[in-house]
Amino acid sequence: MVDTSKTSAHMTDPAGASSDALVVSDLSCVRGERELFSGVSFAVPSGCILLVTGPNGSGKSSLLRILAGLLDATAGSYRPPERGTFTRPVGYLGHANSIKIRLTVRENLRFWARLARAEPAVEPILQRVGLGRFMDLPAGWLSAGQLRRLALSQLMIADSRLWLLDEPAANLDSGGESVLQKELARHRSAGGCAVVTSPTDIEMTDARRFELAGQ
Amino acid sequence: MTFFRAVVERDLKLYMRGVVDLIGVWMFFGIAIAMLPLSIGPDPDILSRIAPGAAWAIALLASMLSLERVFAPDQLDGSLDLLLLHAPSPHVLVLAKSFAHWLVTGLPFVVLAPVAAIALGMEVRGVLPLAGALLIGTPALSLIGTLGAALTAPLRRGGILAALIVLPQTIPVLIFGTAAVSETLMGRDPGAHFSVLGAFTLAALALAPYAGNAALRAVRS
Repeated sequence: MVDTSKTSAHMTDPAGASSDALVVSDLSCVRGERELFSGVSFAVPSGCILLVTGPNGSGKSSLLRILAGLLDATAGSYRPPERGTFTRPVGYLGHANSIKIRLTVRENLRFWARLARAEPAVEPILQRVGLGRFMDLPAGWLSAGQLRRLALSQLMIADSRLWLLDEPAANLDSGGESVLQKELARHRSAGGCAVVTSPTDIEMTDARRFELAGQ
Repeated sequence: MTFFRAVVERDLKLYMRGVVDLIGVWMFFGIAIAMLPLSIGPDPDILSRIAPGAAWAIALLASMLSLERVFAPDQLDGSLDLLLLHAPSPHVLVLAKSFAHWLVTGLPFVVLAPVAAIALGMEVRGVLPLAGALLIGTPALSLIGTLGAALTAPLRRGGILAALIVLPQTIPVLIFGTAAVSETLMGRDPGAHFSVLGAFTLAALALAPYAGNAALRAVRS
């Protein structure tokens, strides 16, 4: 249990304390003077996708950054799932793509594969996201949508149990969106889970939904 | 260790892909040295006397020039988030970043500075001590410099600010680095100065990872 607050009361576990679920209880986030959200509680068991929607500025990205451990919550607590059969517990696709335009597509992905200590072949993953033909191009030559696909492949190669995706469909064409849907389906059938943010309610089969109201 | 190596290798590759910026840093060093006889005058006595100190001061300034390439690009494109997520601890990331920075800014001056000093008329017996002092002292410059880079990571043009923050902390390196060479030239034993220089670098090595981590946390929250 990662307890990010000194004041938080003992938590009630909505998922029945199973260790393969992401459990969030009573999380709140204050940025500057403004309270983005408070009292956020949910659970995402394995094989489940949670779609977080809400208007711009409602704290969707901050929520994901807290869950990724990049930002401290003001109050409340969360517990990421155990890694189980995966290499890592948590993977994060932020809203910046984390791509070096001076490296080739293949070099970009190979670096993150090395960091994740997952050394599966880089090529099949690039084929899966539709970048097979561009492997040896500098990433700076890619379009915005192709960069997003490359960012998605960085998440895929890290083999994490919980995927945190911040507006993953941004800049993606319909082909890219279907790649995203397919990879999410594949991930959940492997026992993974995901939290996906979106400013609008996007179509996503069998996803749970959570709305941040915004204040 | 895998992480450390992977980050250093990637950073080196990125520095080399943008080598024009680096050549600028190295040329700054050469040109600044070449300016000295023009501004101070061609008197060989004066030039040879100030050569060790000039080499040190200019190496210090030159290594500050590239600080905005240590963390700011990774912060801007989101890589820093992923690096921190993958790092076994943030301290390792700070060390890897410092080491890569030292390889492209500290190490070249170990080679270049003695050449420049001879060009200014420094006696040849001062060359090895100068190279040695730079080899021992410049890692401290990169370690402390990385701290400034971390504090200015979210800024667009944070390089100058980083240098301003860092320069006062590097004064001991400058003093003892220069003294180690001048003492040798004056025929005295420079051992004590080398020891202090080494101690300073070791202290920077021990403290910079923690300070760098604290700085990153503070400016990114």
